[in-house]
Amino acid sequence: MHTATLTRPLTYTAPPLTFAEAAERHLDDVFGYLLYLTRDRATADDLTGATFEKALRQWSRFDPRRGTARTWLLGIARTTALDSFRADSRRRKREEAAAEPEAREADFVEGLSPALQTALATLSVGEREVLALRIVIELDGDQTARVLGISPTAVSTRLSRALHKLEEKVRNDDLR
Amino acid sequence: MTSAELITELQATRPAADGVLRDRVRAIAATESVRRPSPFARLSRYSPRRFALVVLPATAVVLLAVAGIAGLLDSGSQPGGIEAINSDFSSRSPAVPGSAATTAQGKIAPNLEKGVAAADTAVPAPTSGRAERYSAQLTLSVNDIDALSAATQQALRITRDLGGYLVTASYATTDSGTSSLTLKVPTANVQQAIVRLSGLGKIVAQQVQIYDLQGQVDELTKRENALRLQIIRLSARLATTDLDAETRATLEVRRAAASSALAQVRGASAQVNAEARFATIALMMQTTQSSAAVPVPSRFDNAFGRAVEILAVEAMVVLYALVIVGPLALLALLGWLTRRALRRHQDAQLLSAQ
Repeated sequence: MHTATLTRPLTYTAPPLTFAEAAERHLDDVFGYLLYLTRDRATADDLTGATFEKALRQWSRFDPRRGTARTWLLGIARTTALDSFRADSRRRKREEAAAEPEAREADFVEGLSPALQTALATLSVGEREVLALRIVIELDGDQTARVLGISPTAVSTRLSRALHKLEEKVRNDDLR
Repeated sequence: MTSAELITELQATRPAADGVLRDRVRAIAATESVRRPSPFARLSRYSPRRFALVVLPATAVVLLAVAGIAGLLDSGSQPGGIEAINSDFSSRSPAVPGSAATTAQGKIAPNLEKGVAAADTAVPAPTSGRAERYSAQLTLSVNDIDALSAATQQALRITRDLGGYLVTASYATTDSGTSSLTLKVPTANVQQAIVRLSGLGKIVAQQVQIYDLQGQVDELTKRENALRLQIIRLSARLATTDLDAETRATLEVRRAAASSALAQVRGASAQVNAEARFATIALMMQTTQSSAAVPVPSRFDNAFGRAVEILAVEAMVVLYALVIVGPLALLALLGWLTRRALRRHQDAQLLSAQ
């Protein structure tokens, strides 16, 4: 009679993650991703703050069954960054149509070789973000696809292309 | 440098937020406890698609439930027409407690339990002291053939009890049954007869006609008296001896004619009096099956029918709303899709920039 009770598998339900815990745990991921996107620490700082402010407002909508807090926060970070880019683009168009894009930091990631920094600068934002998510933050293909809103195959293709381009740029710089 | 080396370097130099940014984010997170969660926080967790997946079936269930419950509640009453007829007559259904009820079949008895006072006022009474032709047609429904047979016998018994008699009778049964009786009942007892006969079943139709014969009776009486007087005078003259033969013959012819006329008037008078003395009651009884031209639907049928009616109304409302809101919703959807496509295009452009 008691055997059934004893053999029943024990289930452990983790207590729900608080926003503070999620922020503490994934701050570096969000910041790193935004840094690779913007290539500017100050902008990445601002966008990281904006991301967490927005995330706090939307925290009640977070459903752990639909994805991890990390992918959810990175998704918000991406939207925040794109909104910022869009606003910048509109501002530039409005103020000075022929103006050059604002200069970015040459060494936006500390410790990275100058050749790699330069090569990264030649990549598009889309290529840098897939590198950041898959290589730097080490999300898997499905999680990256979820953040970017594309298929895992597209993620794989985009990553492969970015790495190839990066490798080529670095090699060319070495030859020079 | 190979891809592997690139990856290793990128991972080794993973960026980290500095202390200032960390403090700033901690400060933002610290306001979490201060924020009061919205009462709709749980709802906002669901995407519109998931929300629709729950709301649409739930709405359909609610609409079905409303139709079902309303149908059940409405099914308690009989269909309008039949009920109106039954209630109309049942409220006037007269009966004499303790008379027919004691001898009639059980199925008939309940109708006889009703009070007679109300019935007396419902059936027009013959005018006392005046000769009237009183005729009534009464259509009753009884439950089944057994009840029809019992009611027929009981009708004859009531007629005899009240000093009346049967004129014609027709009794037929197959799956259903009908019994038609023409009864003569002393006018003095006709009201009681109708009351008691009405108690043999449920009244389906009732009609009473009263035609005043008093004028006719008075006229006949006057004529009879006049003829009688004429005959007396003629007889008195014929009794005298100074009449010549021709005059005597003429008077005798006139007296004979007056006597003949008197006989006719007496006959007519007797006929009118007989008519006034006995009322005619045409009693038609039929079983419920045959009398119910429209079968009475069951409670389930009523509930189902009502539920279908309500569902049809609900469907009309939904359809109407769709017709009105549909184009607007379609425009909104198109606008939203266009905006999303533009946004994606913009995103692609932004992401392709360096």
